[in-house]
Amino acid sequence: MAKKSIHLKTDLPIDMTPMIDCVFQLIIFLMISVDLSQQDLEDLKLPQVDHALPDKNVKKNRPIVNVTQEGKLIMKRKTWYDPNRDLNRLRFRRHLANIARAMPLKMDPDVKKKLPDDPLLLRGDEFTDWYHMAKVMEDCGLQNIMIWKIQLAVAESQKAKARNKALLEQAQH
Amino acid sequence: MVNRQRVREQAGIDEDAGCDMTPMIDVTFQLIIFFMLQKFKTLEGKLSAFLPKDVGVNTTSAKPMEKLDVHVYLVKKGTSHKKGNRKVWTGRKIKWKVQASFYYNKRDFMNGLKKFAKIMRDPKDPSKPVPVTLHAHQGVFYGEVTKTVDDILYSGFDKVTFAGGYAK
Repeated sequence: MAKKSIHLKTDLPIDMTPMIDCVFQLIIFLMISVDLSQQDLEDLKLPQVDHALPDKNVKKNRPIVNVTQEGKLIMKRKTWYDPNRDLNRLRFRRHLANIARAMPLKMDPDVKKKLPDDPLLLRGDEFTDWYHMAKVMEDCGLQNIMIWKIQLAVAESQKAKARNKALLEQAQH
Repeated sequence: MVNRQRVREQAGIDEDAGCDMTPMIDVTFQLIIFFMLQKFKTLEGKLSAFLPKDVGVNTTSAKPMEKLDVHVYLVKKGTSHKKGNRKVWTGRKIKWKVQASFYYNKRDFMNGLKKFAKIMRDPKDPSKPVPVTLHAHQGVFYGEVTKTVDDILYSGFDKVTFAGGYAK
C-alpha cells in the first residue's frame, strides 16, 4: 500500500481577526463603563416622579451637586463639604463662587442686576433630609454666587417612561 | 476521479470547508456587551425650580406679585432600616398647606391645586405664569419635596420658587 504524501504548510499566515475582535470588545467595554459624562453622577437613589422632563440637551459644563443622606456635598467625585469633618461650608462656597463666575451673565429685569444664567443640578437621595438641599440653595443665593436657576434631579417612574415613549412615537408619526 | 482528487489535495484545496462561526460569535458578544452596559447608563429626569432673588443676603428688591404658598409638613416620621449603605424609611406621612387649607392625601392636594390654578390664572392672559413658593418644613425629605414640585407643575403652575429659612 502506497503511503500518501503529507504536505505540511509552513507558511501559515497569522489570522488577525480574533485579535482585532478582542481589541474592539475591550475598547467598547471601556468606553461604555468609563463614560466620562457619568462621572458627575454619584450613586444615589433618586426619587421617582411622574411628570419630570427628561434630562436631555444640557450644557456640557452644567454644575451638578450630589447630596448624600449624611449631607456630604460631592461634585465630580470630590467631597466639598462633609458635615462630620468640616467645621464650615467655606470651601464649598468658594468652589460654587468660582463656578458662578464662569457662567454667562444675563440682566434680570426684576432685580435690575446681572445674574448667572445657567442652572445648577441638585441631586439627592430620596431620603436625604431637605435641610441639606436647602443649605445648598442658601449657598447659591449668596451675594458672590447668586445662582438662581435650580434643577432637581429625579428618576422617571414607569408611568412617566410609558408616557414619554408614547409622546416620542406620536412625534415620529 | 481519483486523479482529480489528488490534484485538488496537492493544490491545497480543502474539500470539506466548514462555515467559520468565529466572526458571528464575536459580533454577537459585542452586541450582548453593548446592550448589557447600556442598562447601566441611567437617563434621569429633572424638575426646574428657582430660588428667590430678593431674600437672604441679596439686597436687591423685587416687586410684589400674586403667588401661591405651598407648605409641606412632616406628620409621621415613620421607621428606618438599613438597606445596603443607605437608610430606607417606611410608614411616613406628610401634609400640605395651600394658602390656608390643609390637605392630608395626594388626591385632595392635587384637586386643591387645580382649583387654585383656575382661580389664580389671569383670564385676560392665561399664558401668564402663576408663581408658587414652596416651603418645606423640618424633617421633610428630598423625595417628598420633589414629588410635591411634580404635583405643582402638573396642576398647571409653571414657576416654583423655594422659600428660605430652614430648620434641621
